[in-house]
Amino acid sequence: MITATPTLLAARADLRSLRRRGWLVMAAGGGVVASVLIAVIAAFGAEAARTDRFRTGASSLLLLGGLVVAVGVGATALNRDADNGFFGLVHIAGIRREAIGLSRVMSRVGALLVVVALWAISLQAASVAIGRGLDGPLAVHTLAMAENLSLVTLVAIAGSTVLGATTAGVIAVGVNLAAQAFANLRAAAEQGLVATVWRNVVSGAYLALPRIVDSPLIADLRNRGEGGPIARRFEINGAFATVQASGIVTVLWTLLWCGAFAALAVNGTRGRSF
Amino acid sequence: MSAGASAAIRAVELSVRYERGAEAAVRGATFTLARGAGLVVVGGPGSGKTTLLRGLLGLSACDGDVDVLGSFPGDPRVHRRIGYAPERWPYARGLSAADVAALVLSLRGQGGQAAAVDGLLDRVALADRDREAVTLEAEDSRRLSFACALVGNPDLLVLDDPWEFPEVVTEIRAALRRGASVLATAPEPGGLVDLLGARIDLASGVA
Repeated sequence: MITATPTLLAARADLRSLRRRGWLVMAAGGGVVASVLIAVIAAFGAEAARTDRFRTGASSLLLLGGLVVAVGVGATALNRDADNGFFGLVHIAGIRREAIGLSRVMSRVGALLVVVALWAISLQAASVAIGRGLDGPLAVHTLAMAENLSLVTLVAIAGSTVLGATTAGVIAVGVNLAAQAFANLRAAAEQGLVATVWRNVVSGAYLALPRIVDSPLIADLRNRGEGGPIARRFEINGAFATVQASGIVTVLWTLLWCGAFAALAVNGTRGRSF
Repeated sequence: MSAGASAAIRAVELSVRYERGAEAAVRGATFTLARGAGLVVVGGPGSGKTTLLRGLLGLSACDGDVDVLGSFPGDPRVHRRIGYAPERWPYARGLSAADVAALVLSLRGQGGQAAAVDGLLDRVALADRDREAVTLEAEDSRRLSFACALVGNPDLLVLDDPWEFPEVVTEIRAALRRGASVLATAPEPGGLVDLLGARIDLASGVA
């Protein structure tokens, strides 16, 4: 049985440790600096394109920077401290194996969300600074990215119970890419752009497996061809597929998968050698 | 050593494997540690000393007929009665020596306040408390590890290659006097055998 106090104690200690990780502090600060640069770049040039330039830059920061942070905090969550004896030390001191896993899920996802929140605030402040005011669609997109990145982190944490950091990280990024691919292919299949023999496969994968949460902002940028390299128009078999924004079902489905990977991570610490 | 129900540790044909390892790193270890007694497991590098301790504590999978404080290895109900000092640098990055001590104190219900941390680290004469634990000098790392084992005055001390500082010797003697059992490993017999009174030799995983 997991009791609250040891879990919270261990999570707090891990957060304290993460606060002192140079790369994480630099990534968080780097995102804030990037927000300023995004705003400066967007402010120059035609006003009509300002919104698209700003949102494309913001989306790039959230995706690329977010993946770095998500993989970084997740892929090392449970392997290193199991191998170096720290988990053995604290397990004998009085925290159950599953609670160790849960504490790391809490602290690592928590750290990710703190960084995303920091970037969200700096992006909104930058938007105000260049005269655009607060950006509601960007705020919604940030929430969608928070969920997508949490999934990446949780896949990496679950992988770190049995794999090294690099492998766990690669798999987590792979799941993210696959989740985006399933959403794109499903849209293409619905529009008749995928061969019939593959439609059932695509639909089955889409229904069963994790899928990306696409915000209205990113769907709009992508479908208009204004999303830059991180949100290209989806072209398949010589035609462009229109990928709609995700609905509430996808939001809930991805949350369910987040829960599943969190449970995998917690359960994985049971049999892990400390 | 005496066998029987009063033993702190009773192991019959204990085998311990490395994680996912095909072969046992420790095979057929049979020994008893009586309550209030001491025992040193002596063996060279790679002989399986650390693996033996990890098996007894349930940190690695083990086979055999084994009791630790009357229960199976890894039973969380007896963990509070065990003090464990791993070797080397068993610490998470980013935590200071004081942070590690505070965490262990809190997990043991002793409170992690500064006074308790200072009191604990004073017992092992660890001065460099604000330094990141993974960067401690080897001697201080051992002191910190040993300090973690002392929290709560446990009934069984499990010490992986403790260095024989005066504070360590003092605390081991105090533990034995209050009826605790002490199991330690060492690469060579040294003073620990005189201190603990009994030894077994481990070579290539066989005791």
